[in-house]
Amino acid sequence: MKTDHNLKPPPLVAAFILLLSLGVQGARALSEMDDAGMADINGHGIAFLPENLQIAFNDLAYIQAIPTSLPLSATNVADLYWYGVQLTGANSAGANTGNVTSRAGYTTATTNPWGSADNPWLLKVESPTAYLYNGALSPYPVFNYYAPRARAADQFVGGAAGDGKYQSIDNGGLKYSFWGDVIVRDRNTSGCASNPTTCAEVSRMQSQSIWNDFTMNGSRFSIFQNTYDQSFGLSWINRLNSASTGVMRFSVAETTQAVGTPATAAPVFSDSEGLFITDMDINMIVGVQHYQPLTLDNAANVDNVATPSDETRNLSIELVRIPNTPSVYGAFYRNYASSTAPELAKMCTNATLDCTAATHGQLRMGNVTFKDPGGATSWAYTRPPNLPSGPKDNLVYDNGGADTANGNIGSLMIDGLMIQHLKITTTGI
Amino acid sequence: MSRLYALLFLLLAASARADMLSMDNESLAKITGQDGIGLALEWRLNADANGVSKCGVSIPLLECRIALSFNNRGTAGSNQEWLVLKGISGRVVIPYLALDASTVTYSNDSDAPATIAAARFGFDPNNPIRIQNFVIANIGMETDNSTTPGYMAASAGGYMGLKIDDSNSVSTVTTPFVGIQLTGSVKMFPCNADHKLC
Repeated sequence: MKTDHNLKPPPLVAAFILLLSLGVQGARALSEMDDAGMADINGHGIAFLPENLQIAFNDLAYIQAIPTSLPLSATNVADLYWYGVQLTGANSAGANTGNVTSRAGYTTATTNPWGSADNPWLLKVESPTAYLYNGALSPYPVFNYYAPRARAADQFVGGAAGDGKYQSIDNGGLKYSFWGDVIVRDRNTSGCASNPTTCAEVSRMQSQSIWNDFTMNGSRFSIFQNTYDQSFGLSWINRLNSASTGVMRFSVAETTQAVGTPATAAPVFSDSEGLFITDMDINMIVGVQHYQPLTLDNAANVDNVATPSDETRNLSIELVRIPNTPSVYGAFYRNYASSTAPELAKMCTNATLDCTAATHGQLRMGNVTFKDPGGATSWAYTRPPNLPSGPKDNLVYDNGGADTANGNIGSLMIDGLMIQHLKITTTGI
Repeated sequence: MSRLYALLFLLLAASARADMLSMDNESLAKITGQDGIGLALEWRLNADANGVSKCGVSIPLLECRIALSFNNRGTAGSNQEWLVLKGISGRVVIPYLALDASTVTYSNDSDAPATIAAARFGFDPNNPIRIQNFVIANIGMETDNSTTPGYMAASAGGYMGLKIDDSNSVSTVTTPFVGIQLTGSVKMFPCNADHKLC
């Protein structure tokens, strides 16, 4: 299958590809290439194939979001740390117990191919034809970075056939984890305004997050000069799909607390406590080529209000609104009465192969379970002892220790998610 | 052609390690995907050998900056906007990065196997990457005025900073490792016209 987008890569990309191509030829025979040979090499893209790639911060290596000014009004200061970030291979189904810091019960797979030579990560310049912000239908150049595609051939091994899962041993099964420390600091501490990390600590919460057995297949990240205000534009198709046995876990109970800020000794988390979400799928369309870019601007310009001079240092991130132009909103909104191919292509679910034409997404959770530190499944709601038995019996406190059906508080499905307009403005100063 | 010469030099260097005999083209053609190059990289930005920032110490604060200006965000000398990373410093050590030649085989448009060369970057988990005190003290939007470009604005203000560091010290290596462990490799190859995705 060849796609023809009238590809004209910019000189830099062409030169880079040329350089690569020369390297490729040179490694084989180190002979000069004639013009005819060069003509066969054109800028169709650069492919990346990570093999068994794993990234792991040690338990005490961290990324910190440093508060540098007091937030607006009476809000206290947040000092955030992400420790021990790991992105590795998924381990066997269901093994999502243990804790990330002691590694007790926490395992990762050593074999972890992300894609294949047939389905690699791909950097491409393309000029797909689509609606611009002004409503014109036109080709427009975009720099795309594709994760491996979701393919029907990549049914998750071990999953049920036809369960809508596009994963395979060849194509993913990732595990992601970190432990976090959120420190709340008192804004009224004397003299701390110029360096809020010195504000007195009020409270803190440490947690661990683990997501086992998901893929990023079908995702795409794009940068371009946007057609809204001709500035820098971004969009991405965010697809994080769990295997049917994949689990996301968030837990807070510790058997040993962390020491120090930043930590000089890592905490040890309960092996079993936490919030468990099975089979979580996130398919979100953030921005649509070419009429809805994500843009970056000075907050003062966007808000268009008189502000103190320091306010101008804030950043505004805006997913621009869908313009009131029939061709554009006609392309954006889904006509649920119609089942034509272009209308169906506007939906991106966990079972969709190609979401590049989608404007609507889906958020889905298989089931949600709570477990107490003893390993029992517990509820946020405890049944009062004087309540007669009856229909409410499904609200039990299950102390059986096993993760039974009783522990399941339900599942979630949000279909047709779309973002008409979104704006995030920092208020640090 | 200078790129070819550079490549030639690299290959000669690799072959020279075996012994110092000259090689003809035929022999050179057989050298593919053998011993690659091992690299050790150390990168210091406004920092000393321990990653301690020199910003505001021996380097003026205004010179510890990286600024980005997106297209069509104001006019230079008037109101051009800059996203300014202020007080940026740190040390990054990559003790081992292997660079060698490899191949990939894909099924082409005719469903025939096609094997092409690929550059391969390999990492060693026993030589983890160390990021010491990599700090962006503050990030803020600044605007040009008639006298000062935004990226030279005197203010150290902004809305947040970022830091990557490690509470372990290099001299007290604790389990399982210090720093950031990368395992595995990444192959890079051209997506040719006969690839199904290109």
